[in-house]
Amino acid sequence: MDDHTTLSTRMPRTSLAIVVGVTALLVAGLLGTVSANRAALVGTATGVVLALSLWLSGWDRWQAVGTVLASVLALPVAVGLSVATGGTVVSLGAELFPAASQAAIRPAVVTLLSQVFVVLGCLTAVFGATAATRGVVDTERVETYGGVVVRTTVVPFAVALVLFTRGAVDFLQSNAGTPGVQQLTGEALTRVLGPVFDPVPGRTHIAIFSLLLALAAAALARGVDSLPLAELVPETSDAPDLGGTVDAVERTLRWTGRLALLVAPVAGLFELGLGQESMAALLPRVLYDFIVAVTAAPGLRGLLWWLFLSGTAVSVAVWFLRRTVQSSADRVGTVLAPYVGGGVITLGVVAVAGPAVDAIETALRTTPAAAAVEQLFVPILDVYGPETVTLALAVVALFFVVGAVGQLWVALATSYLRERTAGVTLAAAGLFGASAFAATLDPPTWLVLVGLIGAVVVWDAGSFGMTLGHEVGTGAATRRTEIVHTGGTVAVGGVGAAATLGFSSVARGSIAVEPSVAVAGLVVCIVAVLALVAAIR
Amino acid sequence: MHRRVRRWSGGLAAALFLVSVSLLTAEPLLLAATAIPLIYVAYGALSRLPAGTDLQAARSVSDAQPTPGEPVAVELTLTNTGSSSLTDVRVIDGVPEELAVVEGSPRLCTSLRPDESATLSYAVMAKRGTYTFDTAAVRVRTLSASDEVTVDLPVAGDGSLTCSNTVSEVPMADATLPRAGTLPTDTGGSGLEFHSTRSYQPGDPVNRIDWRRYAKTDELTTIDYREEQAVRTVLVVDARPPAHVTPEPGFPTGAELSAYAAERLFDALSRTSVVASVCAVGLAEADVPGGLGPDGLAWVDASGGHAAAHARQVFDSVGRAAARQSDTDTADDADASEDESPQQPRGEAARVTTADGGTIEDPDLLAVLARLPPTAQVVVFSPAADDWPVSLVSSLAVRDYPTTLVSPSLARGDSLGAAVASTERAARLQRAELSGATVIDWDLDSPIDVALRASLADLFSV
Repeated sequence: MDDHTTLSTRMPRTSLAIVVGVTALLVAGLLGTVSANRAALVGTATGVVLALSLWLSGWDRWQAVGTVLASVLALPVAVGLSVATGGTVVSLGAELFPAASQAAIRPAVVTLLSQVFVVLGCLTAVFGATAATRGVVDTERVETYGGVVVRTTVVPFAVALVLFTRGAVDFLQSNAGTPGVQQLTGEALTRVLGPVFDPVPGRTHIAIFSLLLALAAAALARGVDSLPLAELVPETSDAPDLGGTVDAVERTLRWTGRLALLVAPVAGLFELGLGQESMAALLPRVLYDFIVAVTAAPGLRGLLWWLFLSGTAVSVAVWFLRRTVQSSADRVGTVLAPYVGGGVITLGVVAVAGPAVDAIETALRTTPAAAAVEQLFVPILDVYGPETVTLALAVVALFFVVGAVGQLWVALATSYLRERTAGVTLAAAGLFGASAFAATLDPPTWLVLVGLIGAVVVWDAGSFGMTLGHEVGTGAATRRTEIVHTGGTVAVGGVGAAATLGFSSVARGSIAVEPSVAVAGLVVCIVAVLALVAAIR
Repeated sequence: MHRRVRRWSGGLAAALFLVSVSLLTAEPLLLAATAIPLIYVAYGALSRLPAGTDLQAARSVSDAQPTPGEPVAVELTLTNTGSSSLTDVRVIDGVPEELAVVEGSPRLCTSLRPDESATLSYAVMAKRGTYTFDTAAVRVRTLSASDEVTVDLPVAGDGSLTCSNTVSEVPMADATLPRAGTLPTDTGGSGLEFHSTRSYQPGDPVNRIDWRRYAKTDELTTIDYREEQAVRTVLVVDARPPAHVTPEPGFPTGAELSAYAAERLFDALSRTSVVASVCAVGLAEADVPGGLGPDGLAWVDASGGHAAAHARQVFDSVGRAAARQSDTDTADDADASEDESPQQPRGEAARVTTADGGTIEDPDLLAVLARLPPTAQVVVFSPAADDWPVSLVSSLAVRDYPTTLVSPSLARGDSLGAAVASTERAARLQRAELSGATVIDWDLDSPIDVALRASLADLFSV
């Protein structure tokens, strides 16, 4: 009976029922102590969705579909995590603050933090218990899911960055910024970008126009070159000679680019050396007017800039497609799926940007941070627009998910969490933490004790069941042993609860009497007990 | 083997966590609640298996001599003969590696009071051979699961399973032939039945001179009788990797069933005057004691001494090949077949025509065709899992060998894969029949004797 048998590592049904049932009951009881009901419910749902996403990312049967779904679900998970933490803070902040006196601030902060930790603990517990039903928490799957979330974040992040940069450049150029660094940066930007995109009318700008033309022509030539036009034309005798035409266009573009690049320095020398009057005198009137009209037209500059961007985008897209077609369809689907999910998330966020921003603003205005909303949030919204702000918030929330998944991965990779019992350990840890923090919210004592013992029972039943499933398999009859074992654990917990109640009646008020001495004494006592236990073991 | 499992050490971390939260939030209840994790740590640390733990096991096998492919029920009874209750007893019966469990589980986890017994029931699929059960692995844990003892427990009662049902034990009287061992031919010579007369040639036996005719005509004439040759039968067993298909885990493979059918026929033939040779295709060098022939075939000729023993070795080799096949993965098999190929003829020069005018380059097929004696009946045993047996049968038909194809039907169950495999096999058998061979479709639900009996008469009346 070695530990390397290749049996199913799923736990038997009785253990699973104990884990899920106890977790559900305790989460329901503990969330009753939290006053931010909506945030608590969202947190619980987030736990289930996170476990589902993890399962979907390792769905072997429909890999691409699973990856797309996991990728799209990253946003609900991110929003759920943000609501569970931020939402609880906002909801309770409005309730607890402003504090009546300075002495009331500390308890209010403790209450607020405790409620946040209870919600987070319940979220972890629900996630752990749900994940334990399918055994989905393992290093490989968490790594895959982390990769999916990171790649999903790339698209909204890139779009948010572009939107943010554009908003920032527009804002700084408008000279609306406060005097100082902002105004100086704005002036510098205007000085650099003005001649390129918004030239002074009534004079020639041949050098910069030529440079822009060269850039646009080179990018377009590259884009046309990368397109598989010749391959797409049917090879029949009466088909138009598209290959020749494409070659001609490409050649023309390249030569235009080279010519423009050659003209630029010469024209620059003339423009700087001779000055506009001499040039007007040197050139025929009609030609000079034509050059002024063409090189100083902002519309034409914009067109050239967009041509440059389009050519570059086509080259990159074709390069990407050429690479992907060499892989298998399933692999392409799996690789591309997160980007598709990221695109869907970006579109969705942009679509609901207006109402979302309004909701956030309304929620923030109810908190003590209402003044900050007026000072920070509204101006930012004015400068960048609701789309950019919502997208940025979504990206930040996605980063939180990446961070949480990363922590989970580190815990698994360093074996702090054992793969086999990771789900039940998370569930138990969440319940234990939530029960401990719930104790500060004045719940009934029995709820705290039941929560602490229940957390131990969840872990014990889960890890015992996992070992049982591993050694004996789920096909064998094991119910009797499982019930006997859990009964023993509950009985020991009962003894612990009785001891707790006894100590509690003795220790009531002990901390409040003389904090520093009492705390020091208690710490010494606890260390002594721990040392004794370690020595016994 | 005794082992301590430190599964409750997390309780110390939990106690420290409670102390921290208690000090952070000035909540005395949490400080008192450290008693809960600490008591669990103590529970784990103090829990020990009671002294005088004793267990006994007994095994019973429903049928100690089953036929191949038959499920055999096994029961293992575990009794707590010690003086204390055992809350967590896990047992795994020592099922022989070669036998697959087809029903139930050979594993059990239960709690046992003193003198209480628990029974573990499962069924294994019988295979040819004798298999010995190992000792049962038993692990006993305390209630806290922090102390465990693992032992190999000797099991009383049935310890082995023998499945060696050969023809010598089963009467096949009905299957013997009216003129067993003789094959009438159209050529004249010595014999019993009149065939023709011809002019005397010096050297003709004196007893075949037609003396009456000599008395009448004064010419020497020799009488030819219809020649009766001893039948030479070659049994070809398909044991190539594609034939190692099995409908469900633990069920004998197609190659093993083919070998089984061939063995039964070989035993039946050896009791008559039929000269039977045995040939197994697709075995590896290591499978056959004494190795393969230079052409890569395991061939046993009836003319050599101890033919029956050698033939038995070849049939056993097919079982060994099946065991090896199930051990190695597909990649290894590919390598193995690559390794074998150099000693077998390949290439353009070795092409052979088939009945439909095509050509084949299969080295196994070429080796069999090259080795066959000029006059012989060929019985091919194959599950027809690929086109090879059909190619062989049609190649034999081109060369006028009377051929029979015996094919065990492996398709079981209602799955789509089984239906496709069954349809493909039916098409192959039909093609074999169209090329002129006698096809025996052996439905595994009926014994092979029935299928052979139904066709043996045909087989030898050519």
